[in-house]
Amino acid sequence: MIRLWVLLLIFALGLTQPCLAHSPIKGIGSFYNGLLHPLLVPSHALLIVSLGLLMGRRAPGRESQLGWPAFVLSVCGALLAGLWWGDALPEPLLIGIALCAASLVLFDWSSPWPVSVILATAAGISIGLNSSADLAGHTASRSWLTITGIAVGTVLWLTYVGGLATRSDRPWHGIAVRVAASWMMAISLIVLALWSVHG
Amino acid sequence: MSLRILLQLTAIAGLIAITNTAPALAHTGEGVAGGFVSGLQHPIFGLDHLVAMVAVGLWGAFLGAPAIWVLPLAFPLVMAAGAALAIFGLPVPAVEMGIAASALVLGLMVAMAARPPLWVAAGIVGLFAVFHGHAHGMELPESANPFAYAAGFVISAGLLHAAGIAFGLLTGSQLGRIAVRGMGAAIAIVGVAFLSGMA
Repeated sequence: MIRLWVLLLIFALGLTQPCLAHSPIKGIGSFYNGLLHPLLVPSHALLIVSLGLLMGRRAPGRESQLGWPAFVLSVCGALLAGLWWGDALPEPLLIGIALCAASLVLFDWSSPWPVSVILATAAGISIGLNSSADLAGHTASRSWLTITGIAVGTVLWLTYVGGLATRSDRPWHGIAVRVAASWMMAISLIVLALWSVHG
Repeated sequence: MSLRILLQLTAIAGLIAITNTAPALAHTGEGVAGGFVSGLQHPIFGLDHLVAMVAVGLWGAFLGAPAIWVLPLAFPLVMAAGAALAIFGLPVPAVEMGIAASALVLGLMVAMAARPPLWVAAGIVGLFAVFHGHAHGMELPESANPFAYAAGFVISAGLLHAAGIAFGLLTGSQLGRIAVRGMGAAIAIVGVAFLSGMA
């Protein structure tokens, strides 16, 4: 009976309308924009998901133990470097890295641990440089907030995907990861075909 | 936490989510979101695509392991190859007829509980995947965001496979087998309707 009342209370609270006040922290919007940036740029989302699947499937081996920090360091370094460099890397490079990572997961190929670390590093550098390139024209303070959000968001999303990919409670979990990898490969192939024709 | 409580909480959370949604006032077909939604809808709102995707899942479930996961793994990749053919401007003859035939053939396979060797099943599914991919690929360049569109239709096709597999798991029971084979027959009838021009 108590449980029912608790559930009804939660339901009643859920019926309240959201408060639409401005955020009290100035500039916090830039941080949130950065947090969501990896998901809103399709090539970045594709790369993060593909790499996350790889890191998750290789866990708890050396590939993920070294690959994850390699990604974190490279994305942070590239974000900083990109503020001064300002040029973006070609999108097909990101797609190619995603394709490599996804293929390793899909076909369950065993590879030396440096391969995964190199892919993670390359992914971090690519995402970092291309994210910074999107900030051209922003003020300095806004840029710093945004790249902080991008760094946090990118690492978080990679960790979430990788964490999900490590699950092996049920027999179908591993299959689901490989199916997701096949989707990433298919999308990568289509986009590379598009780029090769339309530029 | 007991399963009953978990289900109750899930239902409450769902009610909260539904009561707190605001009407979606965004344009359709624009930007990343619009492109993704368009791609997602393409296999769903195309009945010929829809029934064929579900039939792949049904047949995989009927065939059992390893077909139940080999077919959903292979289909997106071959479909991507078909899309790439369209992007490169390479024609595939009788695409619409091939898509309609896929519904008929795959539906019949399920209805007759056909259990060919895995390589035969994969070959049949792969052949029809080319037709479906080519049809999706023809619309890619015109979509609002081809990248997001590609992601949408690949994921949508995969989810339809999963729906077919979920229904196909009913073959564990005698009544379930009848239901699954009945659905296969219905899919085959839809295929005949498309081939004959009635639909």
